[in-house]
Amino acid sequence: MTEQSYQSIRLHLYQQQGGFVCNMQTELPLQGITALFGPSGCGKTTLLRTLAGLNERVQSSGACELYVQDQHGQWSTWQNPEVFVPSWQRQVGLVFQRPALFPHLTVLKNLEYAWVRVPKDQRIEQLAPHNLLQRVGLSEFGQRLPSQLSGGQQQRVALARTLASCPQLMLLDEPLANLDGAAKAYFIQLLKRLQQETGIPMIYVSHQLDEVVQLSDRLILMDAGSLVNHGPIAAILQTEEGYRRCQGENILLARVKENQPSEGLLAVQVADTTLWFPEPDTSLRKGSHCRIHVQAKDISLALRPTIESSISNSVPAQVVAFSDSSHQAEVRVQLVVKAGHEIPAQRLSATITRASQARLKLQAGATVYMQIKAVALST
Amino acid sequence: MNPADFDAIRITLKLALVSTALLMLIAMPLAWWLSQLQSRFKPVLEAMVALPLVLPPTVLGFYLLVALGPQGVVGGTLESLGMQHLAFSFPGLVIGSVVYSLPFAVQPLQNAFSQVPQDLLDAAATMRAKPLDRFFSIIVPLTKHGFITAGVLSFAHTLGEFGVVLMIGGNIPGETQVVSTAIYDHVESLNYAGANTLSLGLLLFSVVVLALVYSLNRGAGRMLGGSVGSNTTKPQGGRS
Repeated sequence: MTEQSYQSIRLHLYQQQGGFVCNMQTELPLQGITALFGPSGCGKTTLLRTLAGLNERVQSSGACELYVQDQHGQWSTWQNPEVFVPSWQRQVGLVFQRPALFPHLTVLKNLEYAWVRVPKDQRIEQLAPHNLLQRVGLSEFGQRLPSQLSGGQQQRVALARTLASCPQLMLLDEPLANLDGAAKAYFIQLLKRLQQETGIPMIYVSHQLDEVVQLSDRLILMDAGSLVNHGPIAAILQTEEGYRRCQGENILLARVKENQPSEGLLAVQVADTTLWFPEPDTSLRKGSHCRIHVQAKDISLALRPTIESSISNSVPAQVVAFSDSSHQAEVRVQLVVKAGHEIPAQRLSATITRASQARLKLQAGATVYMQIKAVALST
Repeated sequence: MNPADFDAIRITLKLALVSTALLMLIAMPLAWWLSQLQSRFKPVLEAMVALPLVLPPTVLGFYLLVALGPQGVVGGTLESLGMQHLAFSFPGLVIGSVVYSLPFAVQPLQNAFSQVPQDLLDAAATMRAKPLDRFFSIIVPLTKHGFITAGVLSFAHTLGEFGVVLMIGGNIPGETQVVSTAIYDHVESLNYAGANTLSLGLLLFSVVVLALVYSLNRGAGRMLGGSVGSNTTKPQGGRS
């Protein structure tokens, strides 16, 4: 685990390019993986490049102030009208959409390029080139040239290379954009684990909802050059904007009850209820906490627990409020699942038709049973 | 070949080597600067560098002669400091060659530099590589072909120059007489056999050099295309 990592970023960015205005002012705590989510062309890359120190020109056409807080709580200036700290002094790693490997260097030499430039007292042995190559599953490829690797492998080298520079913050600009399904899934798992192992905070730019939901601890919603909302992902998903922009994704914290690889089923507990669902990840240990995802449209509501149904998961919850959904015939039901197993009470949303709402005479305060198909759940 | 011919060959090679070395030193930062420049004056600067491609060598030689001579800005200043002016001297020849061959060094380098993907440099920057470090660790290895082409073309072009050398150097045997001016002398004195020996030497040398550049060019794709093209379309030195 690294002790050197940035804690927080304070930012004011105003930039005008043609008709596009980028205007952001915020303070971002850096913990775990923060996803920067928004449609293409909303200013995500601009923000990332500004953080990396690759956006020096902004000063002529707008304003940029950027401050960073280190692990001791000390603030320092990265950019304001008087100061500009260049990229090479920021200790911020950047993984691009393209792997951007140095074509004239072997895979190992690419990693060493980053490693040898880290001052000796800042090196973290765990992030030494050989260890990292092993960690990303490319030990045997050290002597190859980047052009001899597949796209997915190249992107793993790029990730390892960035880590080898022992950064205090890592920025990832849609690193999965050019990868296919299998390579993508592998990369996501790898990234998640590496973040947990190293403790280096990451900011992950994406316009793919599934990546964001699987990866991030915190979520920043962006639209048309401005920050809409940011905070812990489960909470942001339950806000008006979060529900609308993330298509009703819910994240629930649960405790692993049983992991039965033989049947391929995972049992987790939410409140007093046990949920079963198919899960390929066999590494989840009994008693540990895990995150599960379910979309609001995959939750149906019943007034009583059903017994004869193919839907095997039924969780009691309380109706809190109703609000509009994307379609006028639908309604978003905001629900709360009670606390249990060291997990506080959790909010989530279900999307049902207004007709069903009327038929069940649903009202705020009512207790309902959320029925979730096992195949709609995932970690 | 008479002893003066050997002197001419010696001076030619020395001139070409010194000029090429100086050119690489000057052209490297200049080409890098031009490749990164985003200014509306960029075409003007590029035109200045390319000027020797179209200007008659005698015009260039004439102005250099004026500037480097005892009455000129450079020559006059040197004399007032107790030094020699540079007209009709070897250093004067070197200055002339450097100016004359500048586009042949700058253009291949600039082309090569501008083809290095920006994200490689950005990546290096985020890995704590300072600008000079990035230049030598990323740009130079990726633009090797540009450097070789620039070097070879500068060298070959200096060997073949005539007008500028004649104007600044004055064709003094043993001092500023190079192969091309020696050939001219032979022809003036109707020594066609002597002129032929030297001419054939230059011809063979040029063929070898160009073959080398084009074979490198093939390896490097379109990297060096522009500069070779401009060499073949350039009005060759002669008495214009």
